[in-house]
Amino acid sequence: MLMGKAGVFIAERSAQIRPFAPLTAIGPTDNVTPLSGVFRAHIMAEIFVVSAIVSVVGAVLMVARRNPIYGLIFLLVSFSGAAGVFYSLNATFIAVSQILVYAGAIAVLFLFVLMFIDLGKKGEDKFPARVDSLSTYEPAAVEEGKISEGPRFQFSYPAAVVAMTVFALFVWVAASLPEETFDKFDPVPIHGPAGPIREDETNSKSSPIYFGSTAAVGRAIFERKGPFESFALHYEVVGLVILVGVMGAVILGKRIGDEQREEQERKLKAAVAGADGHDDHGHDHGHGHH
Amino acid sequence: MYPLLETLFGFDVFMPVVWLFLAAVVCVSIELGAKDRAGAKLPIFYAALGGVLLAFVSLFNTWGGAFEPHLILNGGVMIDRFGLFLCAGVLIGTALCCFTSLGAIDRLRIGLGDFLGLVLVAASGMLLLVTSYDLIMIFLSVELMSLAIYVLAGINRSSGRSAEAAMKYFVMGAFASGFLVLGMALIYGVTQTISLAEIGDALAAKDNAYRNVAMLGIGMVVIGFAFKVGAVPFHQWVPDVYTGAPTPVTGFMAVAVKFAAFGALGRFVVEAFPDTLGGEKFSPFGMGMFWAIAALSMVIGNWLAVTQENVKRMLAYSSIAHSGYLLMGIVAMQAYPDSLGSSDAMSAILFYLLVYAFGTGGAFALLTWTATDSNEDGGDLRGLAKRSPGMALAMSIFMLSLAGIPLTGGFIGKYMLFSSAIEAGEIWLAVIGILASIVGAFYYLRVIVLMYMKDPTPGEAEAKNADDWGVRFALLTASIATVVLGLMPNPFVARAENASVTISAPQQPAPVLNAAIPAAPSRS
Repeated sequence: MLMGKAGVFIAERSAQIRPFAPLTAIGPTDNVTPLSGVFRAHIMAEIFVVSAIVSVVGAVLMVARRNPIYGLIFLLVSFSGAAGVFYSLNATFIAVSQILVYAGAIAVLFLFVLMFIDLGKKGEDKFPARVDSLSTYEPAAVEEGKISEGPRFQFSYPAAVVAMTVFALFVWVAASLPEETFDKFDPVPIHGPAGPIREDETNSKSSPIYFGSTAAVGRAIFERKGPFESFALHYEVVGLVILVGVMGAVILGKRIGDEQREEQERKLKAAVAGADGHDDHGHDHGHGHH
Repeated sequence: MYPLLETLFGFDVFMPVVWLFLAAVVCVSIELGAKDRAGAKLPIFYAALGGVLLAFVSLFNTWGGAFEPHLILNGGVMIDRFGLFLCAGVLIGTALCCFTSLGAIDRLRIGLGDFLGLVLVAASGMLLLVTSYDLIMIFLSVELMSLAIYVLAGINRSSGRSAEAAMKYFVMGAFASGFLVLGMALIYGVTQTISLAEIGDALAAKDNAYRNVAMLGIGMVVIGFAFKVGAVPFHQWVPDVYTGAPTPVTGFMAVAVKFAAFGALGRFVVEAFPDTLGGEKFSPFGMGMFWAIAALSMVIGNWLAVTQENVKRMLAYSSIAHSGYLLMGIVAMQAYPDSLGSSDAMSAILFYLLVYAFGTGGAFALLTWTATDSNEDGGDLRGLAKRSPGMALAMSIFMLSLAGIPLTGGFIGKYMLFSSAIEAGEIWLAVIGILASIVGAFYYLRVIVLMYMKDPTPGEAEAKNADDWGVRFALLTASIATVVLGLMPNPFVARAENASVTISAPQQPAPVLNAAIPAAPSRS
């Protein structure tokens, strides 16, 4: 009975929900009541809990898989969960770019690379399953098959203690927060000197711009007036960071074959010249004399 | 007009960054267009040096003018004498790197244009870092600096150790960036602002229900910086990365990265740390952490350096110890009850950074000079005095300065740091520091003994780089500067004091010179 009522309620309300927009009224706002309050908080809390679980479980499985391709697919799952967490925090722009950039581009790029390096059935063994630490990693030992024997994870007490301490610190901090911190799910309109900033400044009934929405992000970067700070330079510096990444990839990825060949030829010439050194010397001397 | 152009060229004080980046683009372009790599070396070198010099000139134009500290680019970048002093230090490190890499580049099988392009980009990131005034700018410039240096560490592609260094530095750097950005997110969550000064004010508010979150955020940001400066217990990457990276890069990392990271850390501590948090005095947690990190870095860095055989690796451990001395300055800065004293401590940090730059930059330049194909670390200094007395003398000056022996800059720097720690009441930390630097003197002096009192290893040929004028010039400049800093430190100390007064003194909120933008009302 109760379930039935709730179902009707959800069906009525869900007509108003539009994906990838803040879960409030968008467009002509006259007739549509914003979806807010307790019900909205419930939906958002459920989205949060489900995505958080998906994200954490995906991350754990990604680390635990022996086959890197399965690991990568769980990484995708984890990214999608993270996108859901961002969505539940009203950060729609970050949620979408999480899917587009991380799940869409970066993970697929990883997949390409893994496919290129020809894993085959024995592919698992090409990866050192057990690396004690970065400092004792020896490629030779991996090739000889010494390291891939034995347990998958090297359990390290110091690392475990540090990890538990950091985790406990976070739990302690979260527990010390005031209770109402966890009830805030409504998007926050950005306020200017005269009330909330609206998408269409001339129309007082158009939708307000919510903190973290795509409109707010775009205006923060490109607009130089009003309450939005101009992050144009920050944006340009992001461009420099990416440029350096590309430069670095090109420089590190350049073929050194040609140079090595040149060097070999140079050494060969030097060796020949060394063998004929006496003759050369004599020739130079003769030349100078003339 | 396009707003960005207006923003960039409206402020000549921002030009150092632009010059460096333009020079980097020119270097890479020359490299791309050149048919003959050897012939392109000199034009690339002059382009890079020209960029650095132009940056210096525009820096001193700003410094010389009558100016008040002001924010540009909507609060993202702070132009004050503190930032300008650190910019000058970064540029000195960059210039030293240009000179030392001129000869060493042939061993790396890479074009000088690619190499210096990355160095200049890293340097422009550092200039942004030491002047940045909001959290986003700090994070972006840290990444700009670090990404270029990851690549530089691994730029010797025929060396396994270089690749290992790049990989380790990259993994550790990513880890540190994770701490940094998570801490910043927590701080922003509590304070609703990214501007450093506003963060300090917001945290100082009495009824702050989120003080634990703020504490956690500040702690994580400090951990991120501690990774970057290589302080114990976040120092694990330092020895391997310093040893594996090509020597000119190591010198650049030791000099310029230290300047940049300590500059940003100092500014963060001064501006963003509240005097009180939630109505209580702030110091216990934050300063306890700095105290422990400083003491551990001094003791463990010096202790491990003693056991090293390889001079390059020894210098890497000694750089951990020097991070410890500088962190002691930061503890002293916060321990002073008044702002005048803390500005004294800050100027001690700045002066020490300058001295350390010449000392360690010169030492790595010498290792570049003694390096051979078989021994890229340049570790064999045995009997150097018999082979080339001038070089041995320069290296002795650097070692004496790093050890803190009188008549060198290192003595004045250590004296200022220790005396400010003692005046601030941190007696025990100063005692630990003095004991640790006595241990430090042992291994620095051992290098001098090696050079002057041992016979050269038989078969160790004359260094091939004997005619490398770039390294010679770098060594000459660095050794003269070290002695000058020791004999007549006053003008430099005065500049350091001038630089730190602007940051430590209580001041009115800096004006934002961005006429087109009205002040941002707070989000309610």
